Order: sequence, then C-alpha cells, then structure tokens
Amino acid sequence: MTEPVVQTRNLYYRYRGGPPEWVLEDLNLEIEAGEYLLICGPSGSGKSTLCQALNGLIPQFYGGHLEGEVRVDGLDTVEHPVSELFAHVGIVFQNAEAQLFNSTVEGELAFGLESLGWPQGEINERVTEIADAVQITHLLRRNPHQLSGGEQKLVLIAAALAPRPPVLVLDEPYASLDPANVDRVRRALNEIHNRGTTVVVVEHRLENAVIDAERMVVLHQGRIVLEGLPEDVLARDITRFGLRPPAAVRVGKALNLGNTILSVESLIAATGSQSLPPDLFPAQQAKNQPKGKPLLEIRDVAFSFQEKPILRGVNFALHEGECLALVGANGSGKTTLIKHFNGLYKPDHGHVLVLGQDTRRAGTSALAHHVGLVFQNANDQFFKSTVKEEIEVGARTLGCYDEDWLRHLIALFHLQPLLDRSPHLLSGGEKKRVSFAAALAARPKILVFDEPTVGQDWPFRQALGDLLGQLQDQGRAVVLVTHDLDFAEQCADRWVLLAGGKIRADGSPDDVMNDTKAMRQANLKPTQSFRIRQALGKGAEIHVAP
Amino acid sequence: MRTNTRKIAQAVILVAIGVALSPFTSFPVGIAKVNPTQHFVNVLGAILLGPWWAMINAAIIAIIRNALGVGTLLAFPGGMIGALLAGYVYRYTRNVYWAALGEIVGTGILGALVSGWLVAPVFMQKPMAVGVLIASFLASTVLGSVLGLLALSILRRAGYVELEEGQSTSD
Amino acid sequence: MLPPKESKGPLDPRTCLLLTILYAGLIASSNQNAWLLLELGLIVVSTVAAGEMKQYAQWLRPVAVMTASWFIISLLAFDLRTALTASLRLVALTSAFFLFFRTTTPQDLGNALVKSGLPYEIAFVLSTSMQFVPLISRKIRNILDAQRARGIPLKPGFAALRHYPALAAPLLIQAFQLGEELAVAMESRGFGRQGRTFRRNYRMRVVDWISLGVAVVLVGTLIIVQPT
Ligand SMILES: Nc1ncnc2c1ncn2[C@@H]1O[C@H](COP(=O)(O)OP(=O)(O)OP(=O)(O)O)[C@@H](O)[C@H]1O
Ligand SMILES: Nc1ncnc2c1ncn2[C@@H]1O[C@H](COP(=O)(O)OP(=O)(O)OP(=O)(O)O)[C@@H](O)[C@H]1O
Ligand SMILES: [Mg+2]
Ligand SMILES: [Mg+2]
Repeated sequence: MTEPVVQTRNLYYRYRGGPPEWVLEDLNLEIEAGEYLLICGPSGSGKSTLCQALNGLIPQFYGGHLEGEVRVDGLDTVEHPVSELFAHVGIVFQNAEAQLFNSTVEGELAFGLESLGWPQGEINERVTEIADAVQITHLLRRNPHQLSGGEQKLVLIAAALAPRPPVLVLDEPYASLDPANVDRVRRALNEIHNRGTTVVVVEHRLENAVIDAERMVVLHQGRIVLEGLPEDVLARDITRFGLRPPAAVRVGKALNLGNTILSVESLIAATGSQSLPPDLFPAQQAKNQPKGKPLLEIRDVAFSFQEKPILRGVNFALHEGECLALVGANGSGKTTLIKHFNGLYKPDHGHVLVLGQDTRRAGTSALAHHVGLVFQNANDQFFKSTVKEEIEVGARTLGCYDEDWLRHLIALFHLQPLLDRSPHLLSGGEKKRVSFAAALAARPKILVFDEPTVGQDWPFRQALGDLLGQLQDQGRAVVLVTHDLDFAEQCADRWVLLAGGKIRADGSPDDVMNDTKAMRQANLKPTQSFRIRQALGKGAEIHVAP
Repeated sequence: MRTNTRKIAQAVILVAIGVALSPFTSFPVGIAKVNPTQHFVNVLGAILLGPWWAMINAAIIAIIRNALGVGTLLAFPGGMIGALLAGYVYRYTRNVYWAALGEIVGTGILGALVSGWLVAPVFMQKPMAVGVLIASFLASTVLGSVLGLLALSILRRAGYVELEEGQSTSD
Repeated sequence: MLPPKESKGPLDPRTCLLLTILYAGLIASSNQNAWLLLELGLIVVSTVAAGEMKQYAQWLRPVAVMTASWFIISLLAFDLRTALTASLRLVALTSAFFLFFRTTTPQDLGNALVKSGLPYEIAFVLSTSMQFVPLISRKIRNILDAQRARGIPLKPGFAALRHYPALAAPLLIQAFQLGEELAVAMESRGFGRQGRTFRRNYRMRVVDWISLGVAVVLVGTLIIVQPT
C-alpha cells in the first residue's frame, strides 16, 4: 500500500491566547491518494482549525501550541513553509470575498504559479487548462468580486488547483449558496476527483456531501469520534454529536430497510410500495388556521437600483401569528425586499404599510418600534463593549426601554452568562442570539430574519425553530429569509417564492414545492422530505399527524 | 517572511477603508471640505505599520482617489507627510498621543506648506494665504487624529491590536 | 465613478507617468495666463480624445468649488492677475493628473513600476486595495442599515461622526477580520515567496523612448522660450 497523501499523527493544537483546552486533541487521520473524504462536526468542533493545520498555516501563521505531526504529500508541515506547502495541498476557505484579491479571474488563477516562479508561457498555458477543467473559461476576464457566489467558489477551486497539488481541501463550500450553485460546485468537485485529485470537504449540510464522499469522519470537540464509509457512519447515532442525518437516511432507518440509504432515489427504489409511518416527519402547523389581522401589507411594490429593476409588482400581506418564509435563488431580491419593511428602502412604485402606516411617511426610527430586522451578519451592528449594553442600546435610543421585557429576553435567549462579555468575542451562534435579542428589545410586532441559519449547526437550528414558535405564540409575525429549505419547511407555515423580482408562488410549503413551474423559475429544488412524501406517502395525509 | 504578509494585508485593508469611508464622513465647513478619514487612516497606519508603510498607504490612497476621480493632486502632500511624521514620532516615543500630534503637525503645518508651494509657488512668502490653508488642513487632521485614537482603542479592546509587546514597527 | 477598466493607448504606464510629470513641470513654470490656458486647452483636447469628457465634467464640479475658494483667497490677498494665474495653474495641474489616472489603471502602473525596481509589495497593496474598496463600501452600507434598523440614526455626513462608534466599531473589527482572512489567503497562494515571475510583460518599447525624447526636448524648449 502506498503512503497516505495526508497524515496527522497524535496531533494536538491550541490557539495562542485561547483557553487552555486543546482545540484539536489526539487527532490521527490518514487520507489515501485519490480519496473523497467528508469531514463533519458541529460548530466549534475544530473543522476549520484542522483545514488550516493541513497546509502549515497552523502553526506557522497562527502561532499557538502544536504537538504531534502533520505530513502532506510527504512533507512535514512544521519544517516546510506555507509558501512551499501550498503547491502540495490547495485549500479553499469559507469566505470567498476575502480570498479573491486579484482584479481578474485570470490573475487569480495565475497568482500561485507566479509565486512559484513559473515561466510566463507555462503560466498562461496552465491558466487556460485549469479554467477549462473547472469550466470557467468564459469568466477569465471578469472581476472576481462581481461574480455570483457559486462562480466565486469555482474560481477559488481553480486557483487552488493551478499548481497541480495532489490534495484539495474545501471548508464549507456550500454555505449560503442556492441549490443551482451547489450543484455546479458539486459537479466540479466530482470531476476533479475523477481526474485523480484527493478531495476533502468540510460540511454541516450532509444531504449532498454524503452522496459524493467515499469516506466520512466525524469530529467532536477536537477529536475524531466516528470514521468510515458514509453508510456505516450514518447507521450509527450521530445526533449526539450535533449532526442531523439527511431525510432519506432517517426515513430509511425508520422503515428498517437494512442497509443505510443515502439518497432519495435509492430510498424510493428500496421501499417499493411500502407506505410511510405517520409520525416520521414533525407535524407541520395546521393549515387554514384563522389568520390574525394584517400587520404588514406590500402593495404592488416595484424597486430598482440604478435603472436595474430588482422588484416588480410584489404583493402580499403578513398577519399576526404568521411565520412566513421568503425563499428564492441568490440575487433574487430577498434582502432588498425586507429592507422595504422598515423604510430603509422606499418603493419606487406601490406602497408598504406597517400597521396601516405608509413607510414613505414614517422614518426608519419610527418604524423600528414595530419592525425588528436581524441581518445575516451580526458583526454589522456590534459596537458596545458588553452584551448587555448591546441588547439595550436600540431600545434606549428609541425611548422604549423596558426592564422586565429585557429580563424576559435574556432568559429566552439564554444570555445570562454572556451579559458582561464583549459581543465581538462570542462564537457565531452566540452572536446570532445576541442580535436576535437586540432586535426584539423594542418589542416589535414584526420580526424579520435574513439567513439566520447560515453556518449554524443542527442544535442551533433546532433551538431557533422552537424560538420562532414562541414568538408566533406571542402574536408576533415572523419573516424568515433563507436558502435552507429544510429549515423553512420545518418552521414556516407559508412560503413566498421570489424569482426575477416577482412573486411566483405563495402558499403552504407543499403547495409551493408542488408548483414545478415556479420552482424551476426560481432555480430551487424541493426538499428531500417533500420528495420522499411525494413518492411514498399520500403526501397530505402525513401532515395531519398529531 | 511570515509577519510581513499580515502587515501587507492590513495595509490593503487600511487603504480600502481610507478610500471607501471618505464619502461617508466628509462634510463642508465654510468654504473648505473636511474629510477626516485620511488622517484617521494615517494615525492607524503609523502606529500599526510604521512610518514608511503609513506614508506609502497615504500615497496609494491619493492615487486611487485620483483614479476614481474623487481626489486631486493635493491628496498627496495632504496625506503623506503627516503619515511619515506620525510613524517616526511613534517609533521613537512609543506613545500613541505623540503619534497623533505628529500627524497633526505633519499634515496641518508641513502638508499645508507643501501644498501651498505645489499649487502656487508665488504664495510662499505671503503668510496670509498659507494661513488659510493651514487652518483648513488643521481642522481635518485634528478631527481625523482624534477619531484614529478612538479607533485604535476599539481595535485594542477587540484583540486585533497589541501595542505592548511585539508590535515592532521596524521594517 | 468607476475606475478605468483598462489602460488606454500604446504607451507603457511608466512613459505616461513621466510624460505627465514633465507636463506638470511645464505648467508649474508657466506664469502667463495665456500659456496656462493653452496648456489646459491641450489637456482638455486630449481628454476628449480619450473619451473621458463625461468623467472630466463630473470631476470638475468639486474642483471648481475648490478653485473658486482658492481664487477668492488670493484675490483678497493679492491682485486679480495673480489670483487668475494661481487658479488656472491649479486647474491645469490637477487636470493633467486626472487625465493620467483616467487612462492608466493603478494595477498597470504598479506592475510596470515593479519592473523598474518598485518593491512588489507596494504594487500589490496598490492593486489589491482597489479590489477591496467596493467590498468595504458595501460593508459600510450594511452597517448603516443594520444600525438604522434598530433606531440608531446613522446617515452619511456629520451624523456618521456623531454616532461614530456605531459605525467605526463594526467596520474596523470586520475590516481587520477581513485582513486576517486575506493574509491567510495570500499565504496559501505563496505570497512572499522569493523569485516571483509575472504573467504579463511590461516593456519600454521604441515608441516609449521616442515619445519621451520628443517630450523632453519640447518641454525644455518651451520652458526656456516662454515669457516669464
Ligand atoms: N483564531 C483563533 N483564535 C483563538 N481561538 C480560535 C481561533 N479560531 C478558532 N478558535 C476556537 O477554536 C475552536 C474550533 O474552531 P473552528 O473554527 O475550528 O471550528 P469549526 O468546527 O470550524 O466550527 P464552525 O462550524 O462554526 O466553522 C472554537 O472553540 C473556536 O472558538
Ligand atoms: N446597493 C446595491 N446597489 C446595486 N445593486 C444592488 C445593491 N444591493 C443589491 N443589488 C442587486 O440587487 C439584486 C438583489 O439583491 P439581494 O441582495 O436583494 O438578493 P438576495 O435575494 O438577498 O440574494 P442572496 O440570496 O444572495 O442574499 C442583486 O442582483 C444585487 O446585485
Ligand atoms: Mg469552520
Ligand atoms: Mg440576501
């Protein structure tokens, strides 16, 4: 047997200035040449840290304390500088924007080769070749920052592969991509793998990744806790490690189908005409429940940026106690639409009414009493030195500070232990909770979340789902903007589908997913659980479950 | 060199802030337009990156603002001299307040003098016109330097900047 | 205004820079209003030829304000003639550099200067920071929106300074985080390794040398010939 292309031996690591616990602990991992490996684990389990240890950034760039050994392509990552190792292991990190630092895609692909001192002719040849392999030849002259999220990932993949490293590592490549873009990136990765490159993918969202991967490793608190074929790992209980098996796997298990089933297609093939036990999917909210009074009305709204129309003839109303999910592809105008809810943007045509008040006539500060907006990036708002001040500041400036209500919020979001800490130093999930509480501090009737689940693990999503339920019970209306259709299906009783600036469908999640034309226009794919219900159950009956 | 990469990335970011923030923070005061962002970036650059990089940053900001059509030739003397002086003052005193003072003197007096000379050599001997230039440059730089010191304390609290040890500004 | 997409014309960026500096020298040495007008006229003609007239008009507006105040100051301090000369010279000088920057991209300028001994790091900061300006602008807009959404009245201009921490803290912290990620990405693609090569060539060709030679002779003659 040949030597593994990546090998960590008794690897221990902790960051400089971090807590004394190891972030990676006794990690032994071997990756064979040509393998497709999936690494998963909950937030903070050390996945990104492990990626950075593979090309020597840890410890060379980050410092900290490392014990044990990491070898990549036969090279020890402590003895060889990162500027040498990058030609042996290409890494694509999560935040695409920060990694695209050239003015053209061409320059981006050439940068590594220029570093290595390749002669001009060979650089240009290789750039052409790799662009062709990843199918981005038509983008070569574009500015990378003006590409879509999926295209940016492809450019980064090509740039990492340009010096022909035997290993490619990707940290959460599918985060915040819509399904069409996810598919493009997946196809490219499969193609690269077929050509003989070792592919290592780090992901929370298992449903696609487990199908492509040949082997799977589960990381928990810096240790490898499970390892093996995806079928074998998923046959075990991974929920205790904060992971959720894909719907097909859950259904397969519940039906006792023997071998673990990874995809919806094989599930359907394996079940024959067996029907689903009714308690398999969490009950959806009963439909046709009497609606409360309308809190927000969008009437024939049109909006454009510099002559470019973004929204056209948008109409809908949001009622008390409703949870509405706004879904649509990247760039379909979701964020632009919700910025109309509190007057950050004013419509070019039509009206937005908040509790009957036209947003054109009210300032954003006045509307902030009624509408709480939580943006995707919690870091956009933190400026106080403690969590407590951060939660209070909005309510104080609006002049509606209410001690009891804040105590209630602190309890609701489990913020008591964090109150005196700096909001900047919290984990991703904790930051989100603080920003939720801050948005609720002024007791708004309408609460809008933009992509609340991006980069968050299953335990967080579950907690958020419960919380949304509580807010609804208090008579608030919730709007959820998300690509995470599984989450939208689980939490929202109504979906509004946006494509090309127009509403293409509006109804229960099943109604919307049943509308194949609208789903195609929006470039979205129905959730696994919907497809399973369609194929196996007489769909509708299942929801009636208690 | 490892530490160098981080420093250069920080230079990139500071320049980008310097260019991007200025339309949001500039406002007219009398006949002059006050734009403190340049001086805010100078103070940060001088302390974090040292005199030469601070000056190079100022030059690059001026180039980009010219290329974008939002700046003029005066951006060069108006930024580079203060940055260099602030950087040297910080290197020898290790005191952020002295560094800010260096920026204020460098821009408000030296920068204004050089600008006056650049625009109209004739005016060098005539104190009054130069006085007006100095006054408007001083307004910008004092405001910018104060904001720069505030920014530094924000970054220190968030753990991105450690000034006590290791923050050597030697190139 | 957007930065120029690509450099225009057949000359090397270094040649353009030297020509501009020479021309600026000529302007600085001119003391006659007629000469200054002529020099400015030549720039305007070239600007039209380069197809940059619209941008020039846009750029001229704030410059006009600056020049007007300059004019008033010098009028109060001296006489009308000096004030006119000073204002004309200011406009002509800044216009010359406007034309240069609109026809040569900073990237090309930086890379070409590397060939003449400019440290690569400086050229890198020049071209890369341009890339990050729109990103930082977007972040600033997002921060303003996020704060306004919870009732903190941030608007561009003086208000942004009054609520300074609400803008500066999120911006600086994210920008430095971005810097950290950028540094990681640069390291991971071999930045700082010795022996870098370049994908593109910047060579001084015969046209460059000829234009420079002609310009030196011409400007030299004019400086000597022109009345003072
Ligand atoms: N630069 C750093 N300095 C100090 N501690 C860090 C640093 N980066 C990460 N950590 C800590 O190391 C631990 C592991 O973080 P890591 O980013 O590897 O997790 P992850 O599995 O990638 O999580 P996620 O799914 O949220 O991306 C966390 O507790 C985190 O707080
Ligand atoms: N400030 C702006 N100036 C110009 N165009 C913009 C601006 N903000 C957004 N756009 C454009 O408007 C369109 C819709 O953007 P928006 O952010 O609303 O999409 P989205 O549905 O939220 O996408 P995503 O799922 O990627 O977040 C995009 O094409 C985007 O490029
Ligand atoms: Mg991670
Ligand atoms: Mg969005």
